[in-house]
Amino acid sequence: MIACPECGAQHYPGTLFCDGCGAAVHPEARAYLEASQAAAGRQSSIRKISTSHRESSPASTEATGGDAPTPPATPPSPPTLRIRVIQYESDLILRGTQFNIGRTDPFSDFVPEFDVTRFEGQERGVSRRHATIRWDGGGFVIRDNDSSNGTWLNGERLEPGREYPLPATAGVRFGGLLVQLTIAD
Amino acid sequence: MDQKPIDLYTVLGIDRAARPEEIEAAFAAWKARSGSSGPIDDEAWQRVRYAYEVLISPQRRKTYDSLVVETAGPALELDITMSAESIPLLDTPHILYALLTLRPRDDRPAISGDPRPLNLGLVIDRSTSMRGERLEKVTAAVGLLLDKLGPGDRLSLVSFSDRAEVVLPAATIDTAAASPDPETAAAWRDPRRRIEAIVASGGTEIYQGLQAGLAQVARPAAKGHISHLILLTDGHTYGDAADCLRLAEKMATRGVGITAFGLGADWNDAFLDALVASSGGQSHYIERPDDVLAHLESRLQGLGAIHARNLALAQSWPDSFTLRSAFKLAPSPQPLPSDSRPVPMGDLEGRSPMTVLLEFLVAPQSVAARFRLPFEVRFTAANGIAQLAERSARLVAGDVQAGDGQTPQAIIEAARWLNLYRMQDKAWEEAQLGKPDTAAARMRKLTDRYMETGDLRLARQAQLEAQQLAQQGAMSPEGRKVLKYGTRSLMRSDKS
Repeated sequence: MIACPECGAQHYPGTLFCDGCGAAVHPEARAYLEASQAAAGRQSSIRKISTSHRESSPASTEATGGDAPTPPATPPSPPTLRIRVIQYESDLILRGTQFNIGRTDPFSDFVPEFDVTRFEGQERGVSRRHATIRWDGGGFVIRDNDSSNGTWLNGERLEPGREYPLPATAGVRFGGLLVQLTIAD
Repeated sequence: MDQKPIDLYTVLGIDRAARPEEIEAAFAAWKARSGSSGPIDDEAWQRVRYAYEVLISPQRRKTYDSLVVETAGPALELDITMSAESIPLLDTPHILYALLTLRPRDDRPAISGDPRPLNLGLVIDRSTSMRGERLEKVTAAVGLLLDKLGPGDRLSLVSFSDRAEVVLPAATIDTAAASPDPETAAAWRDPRRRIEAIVASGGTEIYQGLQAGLAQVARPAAKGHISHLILLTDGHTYGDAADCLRLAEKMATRGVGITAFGLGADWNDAFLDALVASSGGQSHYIERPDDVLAHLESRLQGLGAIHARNLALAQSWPDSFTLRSAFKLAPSPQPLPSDSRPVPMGDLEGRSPMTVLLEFLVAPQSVAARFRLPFEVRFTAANGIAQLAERSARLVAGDVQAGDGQTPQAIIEAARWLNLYRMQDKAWEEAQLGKPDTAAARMRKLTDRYMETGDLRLARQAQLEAQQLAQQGAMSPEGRKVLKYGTRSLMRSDKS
């Protein structure tokens, strides 16, 4: 095996580029990149513009700040909640301590964290303030907010206003919209 | 005796695609000429007469065409470029790349004049989310498309939400309004009005649309046509993805190709890629409704100039070679299903070559040896005859000195694009798997790589996505599409 000169990822011999960081692994690939950069020398003004653009924004300082160690990102709080909208094969990640599930209400500026408008929530009978999921310190709990068409947890209809503990994986139906909730860490 | 077979088309001085009238005319001209210029050269006369008799009979002409193809070789030429000609003796597996180029042979006349007529099925999403500008632009584009089709082309139009509706039943454009079927005739009396009357409402069930579309395209009247289905959607399908894929496979076996267009940001690109994979079709991202017409037109142009159909790469290599990935770089970049046997590569449109990059994992070679790596591409030529283009690469397993074996530039270049494509794919995957930090880090790397290519738009987008991943733990669906399809078009612009 050979190591990527930039990120250290291991590759089979013969590999041209690292699929982890995009660096040239093979000496001939490196020579190619250098040559093409040199050939693009007259375009360097363009590159300079882009560089300055990049540096003006905070995220890219992070991106280019090679000497900065990778941030020890360990969030102190609740695990993330993954929502898979089964009918749409769509995956979303929610982080935080409380999420509303429902539809954006343009008249009251209410925007739920998990907005099902684009999943045709209205047609599927999801109320604007349909349900709430909350981190209670030890786990997530789910509550139906007296929605018109109800909330089901693993096939059981929830009694409105009551909080139910959310298992690590659960099938939840908001009205006619089926989602799979997974607690990820 | 002349050993070289005489080409009957050359004898008459006509094109390979000549119509019967042209054959008649050429023969008549010969008779007139020979009559006026003294005694007839008997041998020459016999030859012309024979050529005429063979070519004027559809049956005999077809047989002749098939025989000539065999003596003259296939209509496509296959070239192979390998990343290396030798494999070192190692105890670990090894990566080897092959770049396949398929091009129409220069000595073949272009299929000019009369290409095979099209049998096009349009399947248009009319779910609620299409309401407004999207549907307006789509129906306007379809209306304009009616004028672009030839008189012998067939067209059908199906709209779908959670139900499908046949807006225009399949019919040959110029005779549709006079169809003996009253329903077809009524629909085609004023096709534009029918198209404009489509109303957006309901969910998205692509299967409904595909099934109704296929029923139109698969009518027996379409025999001898190039059958193709164009799907245009702006949403995620409703729980029927697996059924759709099965249907697409069925279509591929019937020779119906698929092009899938995703409009806006809220559709499933992985699903549309899978949908077109079995027929080697194309999937495209339409960013703005204004671009719908241009996309449809360019697709129509491609379909109207098909040189060879249903190219399929046989996995004919030794067991020690595993195909890890296959990617069509040109003319229209598209990932190919490397685990499929054979690998469907789609049609060759126009005269521009098709290039495909293959990545092999080669099992450890322990003994020095010479061997052949065979590549076989089967396809249907313009005249409907199945052909095979083949070529082998010669490889040596043995001790190689360092620095030996120049890797061709074309391979390095292709691998570079493919690598960028994979990186953005991987970042998306990681974001989906709930690893936003890893995804963000990869996206930041990708920002630099896009900068190296000089594509500022992609670089900026990658930077935005890195930010979004770090702050919100997810990529934007727009960003996903911009990067994925933007990287694909990087490959294309590089080729031109």
